[in-house]
Amino acid sequence: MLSRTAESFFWIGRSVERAEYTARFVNVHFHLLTEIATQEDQANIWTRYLEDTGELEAYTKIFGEVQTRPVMEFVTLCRDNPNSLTNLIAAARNSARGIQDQLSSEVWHFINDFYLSLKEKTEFDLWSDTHHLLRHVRNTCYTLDGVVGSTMVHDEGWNFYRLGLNIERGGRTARLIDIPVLSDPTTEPRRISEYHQCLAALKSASAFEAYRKFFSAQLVPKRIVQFLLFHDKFPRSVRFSTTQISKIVERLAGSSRRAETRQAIRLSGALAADLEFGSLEEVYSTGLSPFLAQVLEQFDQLSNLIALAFFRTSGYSTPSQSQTQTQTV
Amino acid sequence: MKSLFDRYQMKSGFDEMFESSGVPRRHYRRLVERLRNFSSKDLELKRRQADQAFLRQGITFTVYGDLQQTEKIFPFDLMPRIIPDSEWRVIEEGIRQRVMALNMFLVDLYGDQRILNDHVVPRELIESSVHFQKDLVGFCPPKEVFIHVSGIDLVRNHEGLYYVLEDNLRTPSGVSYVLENRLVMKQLFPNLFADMQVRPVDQYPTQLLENLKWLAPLGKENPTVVLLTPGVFNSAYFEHCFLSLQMGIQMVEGRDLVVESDDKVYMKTTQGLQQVDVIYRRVDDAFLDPEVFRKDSVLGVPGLVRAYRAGNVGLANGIGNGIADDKAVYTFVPKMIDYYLSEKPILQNVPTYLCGNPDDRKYVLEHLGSLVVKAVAESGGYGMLMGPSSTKAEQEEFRKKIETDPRSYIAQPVVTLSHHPCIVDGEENMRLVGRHIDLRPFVLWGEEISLSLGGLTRVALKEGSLVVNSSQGGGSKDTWVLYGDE
Repeated sequence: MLSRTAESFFWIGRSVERAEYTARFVNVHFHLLTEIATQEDQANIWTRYLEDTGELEAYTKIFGEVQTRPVMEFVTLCRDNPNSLTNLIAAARNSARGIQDQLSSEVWHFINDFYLSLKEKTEFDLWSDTHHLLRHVRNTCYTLDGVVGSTMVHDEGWNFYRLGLNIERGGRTARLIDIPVLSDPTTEPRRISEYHQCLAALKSASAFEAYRKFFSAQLVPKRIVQFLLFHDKFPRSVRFSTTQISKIVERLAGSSRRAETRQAIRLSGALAADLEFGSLEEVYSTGLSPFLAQVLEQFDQLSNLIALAFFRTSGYSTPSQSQTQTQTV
Repeated sequence: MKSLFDRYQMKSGFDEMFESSGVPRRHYRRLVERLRNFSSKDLELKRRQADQAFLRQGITFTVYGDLQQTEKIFPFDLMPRIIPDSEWRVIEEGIRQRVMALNMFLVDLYGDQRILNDHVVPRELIESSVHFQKDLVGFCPPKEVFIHVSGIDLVRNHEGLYYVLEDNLRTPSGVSYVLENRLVMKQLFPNLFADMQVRPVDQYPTQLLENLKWLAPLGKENPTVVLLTPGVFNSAYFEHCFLSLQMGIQMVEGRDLVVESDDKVYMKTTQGLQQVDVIYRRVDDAFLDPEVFRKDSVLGVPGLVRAYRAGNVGLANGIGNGIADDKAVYTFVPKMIDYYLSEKPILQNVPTYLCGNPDDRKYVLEHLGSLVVKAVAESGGYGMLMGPSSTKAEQEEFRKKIETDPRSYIAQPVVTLSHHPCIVDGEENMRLVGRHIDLRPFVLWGEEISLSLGGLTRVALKEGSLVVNSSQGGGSKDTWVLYGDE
């Protein structure tokens, strides 16, 4: 498979997963905020989110002060934010367009439809039916994954798609847990706002119902951490993603003896083992936030290694393409 | 109920469908009979379905110079164009003869240059062209073929006579519309095809792939064939994807390929480098290889020409074809046919004035208001002056251009193109109106020369417009070649 094609598959997985998490997070928090009294509490939640995703600076440049409405516009429809929902789906669609010949026509039509449905959306649509718009994005992301899984051959390209998706997914779930209310294992949420934050963390990973099946409806911070970090059967736990990542990297590497490839196998294997055999004691003795920072650091390293191992194999840089050759019908 | 046809008004000039008001030509009778039963509501629905189908599938092209890089669908007109068998045979023979002569011209030009030495074509005309690749003189491509894929643009005048308007011998596009238009038509009007005797168009990709494999360096079994695209920003990108998928070959961009020190071409894959044997390139000469042509090109592959000359990779089309579809060299094609084949041209040229020629130039400058002036190096309807509809200021602009650089311009009398009924939006309902059309059959050269059955019929959808290019508001129609004459 062409390196460029592999990289496009990888980024389709990543961009769509990122859009899905964003839509879910914003939807959950928007509804939660309607019941939160102070502007200050609202601003705190959004500021934390923008910090986590590394977008605070870009946001402040455009909108200034952190407030619910401009933040929502920034993360959903804003043309100047590369990580807004519209831009993420446009990016996925552009990647897909560049490898149209490698996709099933169902996948291409679906992504193209998705893109067309978002392209026309305005602030009016966002505010007249916020829930509808966000649910549309989230559900379409779910469906897209289904279309990919059921119409594409599960060969190299599909594996790169799953790799991108899982790297994004693991990272996003890890970021969801990194909130103060979860960082002390002895506390139980008493204030209503703490309770809400726990709920929001679970719902943002679409994990609330699954959590309840295992631990009843009682929201206990250390159980939430355990569930989202270590659960072996919940598909959005960090551990579930790292296990997937390690398997996929091994599959893609095959019998390659190249140094970068071997290194990628080693790191993804180590990461998977850390989470498979990790324990809450270990997490809390390190501190939740530092522990998660280490995990995220390893995700970053792994992304770089994967790029070196598969996307830049011949050491050539890929120039961005802005040149056009005029050619007409 | 009144049918669309009852309100159709014929205009002066040649009407493809009707002999006289209300009387369809023989090969259109069946179609008109069938379509009488459709109300304009039915047709409106069908048309909306067609537009949806094109947009959803991403069958779009990009408009250059538009900062938004807007993707548009190529407008599609539901009313098919029909060519009876006897007429098609003449077209086929005429085009085959023409492409044959043009290929011999290229072989000669990059070889002994007999035609120049015999003063049939002026040497000065060739050597002053930017499309003449001097460095490649002395190199003959494998199997002596330059023109593997071409598209020849035909128009019909007020009497219905076919003329060649333009030869496209570099990277002609549009064949994907031929195939997609037919597919959409069959989906929308399945019953219409039942007893119409329409010949199929879908063998094109198979034939193209077979021809490409034929170009593989000697002794290669199961050669690796790829399609080289300039990328997603190219207006014909959809077509590149479409053809790759249809042929089941890998589509690559310049940055995916590399020429190693062994002068062989490789693609960069996740498993390392893999050798490429044949390239169907949709990248122009100028961008193909920064070692030889434009140094700043990032669309091409450094060293590609080296690999080609070493015989390590097959290229379609050959390099340097632009000299033969230059709009000034076009004037000499009838002479080429006589010179190389000792035959009379079956399809005529539109009379052309070469501004590089003093007598012609004088005539052109005196008649700017009644001629079509074209820049020889431009294509796609860019860089043209349509005399009769131009302003004084535009004429003055072209006068200056011609006086500064006469070699770069030609002029032709305005040909009143034939028109064909098209379905357009009326004030309340859909209406049927005449619009000008042309025809671009596609020609493939392998072990033998074959033509797409029919080709792309382009329509100037703006009322009165004679320019059919997609970039200038043109659209297209499904084109039916019949097994018989009715």
